[in-house]
Amino acid sequence: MKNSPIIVFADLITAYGHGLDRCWNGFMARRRPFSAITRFPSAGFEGAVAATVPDFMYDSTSSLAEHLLRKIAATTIELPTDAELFLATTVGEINLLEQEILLHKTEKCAPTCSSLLDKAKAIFGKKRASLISAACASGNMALARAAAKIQNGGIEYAIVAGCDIVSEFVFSGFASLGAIDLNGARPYDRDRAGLTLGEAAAVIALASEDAARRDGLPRLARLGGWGISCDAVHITAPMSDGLQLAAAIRHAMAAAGISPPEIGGVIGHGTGTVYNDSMEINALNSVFNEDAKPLFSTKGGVGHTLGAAGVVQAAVAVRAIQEMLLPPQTGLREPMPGTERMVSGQTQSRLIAPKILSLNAGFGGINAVLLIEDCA
Amino acid sequence: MKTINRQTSFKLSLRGMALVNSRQALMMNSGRSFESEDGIAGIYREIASSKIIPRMRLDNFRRAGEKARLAMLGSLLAFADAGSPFADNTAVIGWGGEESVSENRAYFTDYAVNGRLLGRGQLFIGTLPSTPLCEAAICLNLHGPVFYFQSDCGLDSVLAEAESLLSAKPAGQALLLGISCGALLALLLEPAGDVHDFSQSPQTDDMPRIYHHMEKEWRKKYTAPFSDKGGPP
Repeated sequence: MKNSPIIVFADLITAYGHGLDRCWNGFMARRRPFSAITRFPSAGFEGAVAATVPDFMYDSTSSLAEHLLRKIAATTIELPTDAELFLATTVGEINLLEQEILLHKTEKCAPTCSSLLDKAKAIFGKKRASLISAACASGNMALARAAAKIQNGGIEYAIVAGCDIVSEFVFSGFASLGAIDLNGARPYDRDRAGLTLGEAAAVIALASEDAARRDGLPRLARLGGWGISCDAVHITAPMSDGLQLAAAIRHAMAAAGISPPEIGGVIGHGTGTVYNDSMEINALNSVFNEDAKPLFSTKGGVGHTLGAAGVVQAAVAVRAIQEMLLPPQTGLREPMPGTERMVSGQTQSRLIAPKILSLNAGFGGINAVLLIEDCA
Repeated sequence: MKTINRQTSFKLSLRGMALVNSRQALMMNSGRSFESEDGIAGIYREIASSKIIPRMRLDNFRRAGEKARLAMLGSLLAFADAGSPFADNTAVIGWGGEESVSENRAYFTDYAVNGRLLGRGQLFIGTLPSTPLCEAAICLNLHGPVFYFQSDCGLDSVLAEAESLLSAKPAGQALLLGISCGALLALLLEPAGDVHDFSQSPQTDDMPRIYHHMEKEWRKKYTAPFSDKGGPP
């Protein structure tokens, strides 16, 4: 894609800890940092686990998301103050609303995503900030919108921050939909039974080609293309044949001027729910036919980090391109039918080429796909 | 009130516009209006009987929350106002600053008062800012980008987002749905031309004020016989 932006910085805080090294090493070691929930009473969700950030306490009066953003902002690359901040989140400071209700506070909370946006703008010290909320596709959507703005010359730099937390609000909600695997998510597994909720703050900094070169910024990778679509079928269930996700994949590749054989691997949405993973495989099969690509989901390790997921995946894609491999699939025991040549729970997969598709699929049927490639 | 730098010119054509609240629905180009004492469902029945929108089964309409109902009805009316068929790749962008805070509060209060053992899925699915937008996309079978957007610059920044989406052609039309205080402003936009000049509106970062301003414009233009108590409730 002409004028496609350069990824000049990537960082994340997940259940593996702070930093891409910790996260990558956790994946490579096939370690599942899931633990019993102690953050809120979980008697109704017997034995449930979540992927929470270590040593991150649930303070009843402050915003967990704000804490996470402060922590990651402290190590984020310095960019000019006119760099625009794009915040991807689904529920923002939802624990403040929980406390309002549980403690019967009379003072009403502000909308939880916008209030986090105001804080994020100050935390990152930026003049302009936008909130993008598109369910669990928020991360990829925010990256795509930031990239588009750089590409059309509207801005030179963008910081895309994704942040969501493990909260009683979201946990109980997913549990009510029967979407949680009490024993921990196993994406793309034959016996997968649901997702594990995770939390993360992740940052990707983008710059125009000119700005990156002029300012001598690291050229980690390129956001070569993106595709966005909506199933428009059901408010929670994905389109079973993956038709619209496949359309978004094709659009991302076409935008980057890349054909299916040139794709090196896929970081899938891979929540571990029966329907999501099945839909994704159908979409991938319809695009790649017999040309099976190496496939990996971050959610077997860091859990489903909701609005942060796409930004987490982009950071992992940067490292995967540097290493030219995808980690073994965390949590996988036996691949679901049709994925035997795509995923492995035991061995890492060599990338066929330094070009990775990163997929997000959210409630309401929102699909957002990124094509991340080396800067060559 | 925030002071913002106005950008009044966009490469966008405003094809259709609708205003909806719990008592009335107004179409800006055609000048049509609909009223009901039965809330949004009643307004929908009035509109359906007028045959200005295609016959469709709105099963989702009956189960949806208030914001989703507003979004579906406003989207239908914006297309009807434009006289346009639903374009498959239409983008749906939400704004207005209210997100889903009332739905969030309703879900978690219900969960808390019932012992914090299990949430109610029906309430949970309405807790995302993007849910009403997706309900509109499902209702109209729209497959373009769908997301909720919020920035410092109110409507101008949403228009800029729409302009960017349409210029890059991932979408053929953009439907902007501003929802706040129980009222909805739906704008159906296409590339080229100049969008309606909102510069006379009091504050473009304030959706209810824009709604009220547009309602007054509608009255001036069409002087239709509806209640003088118009505007967001």
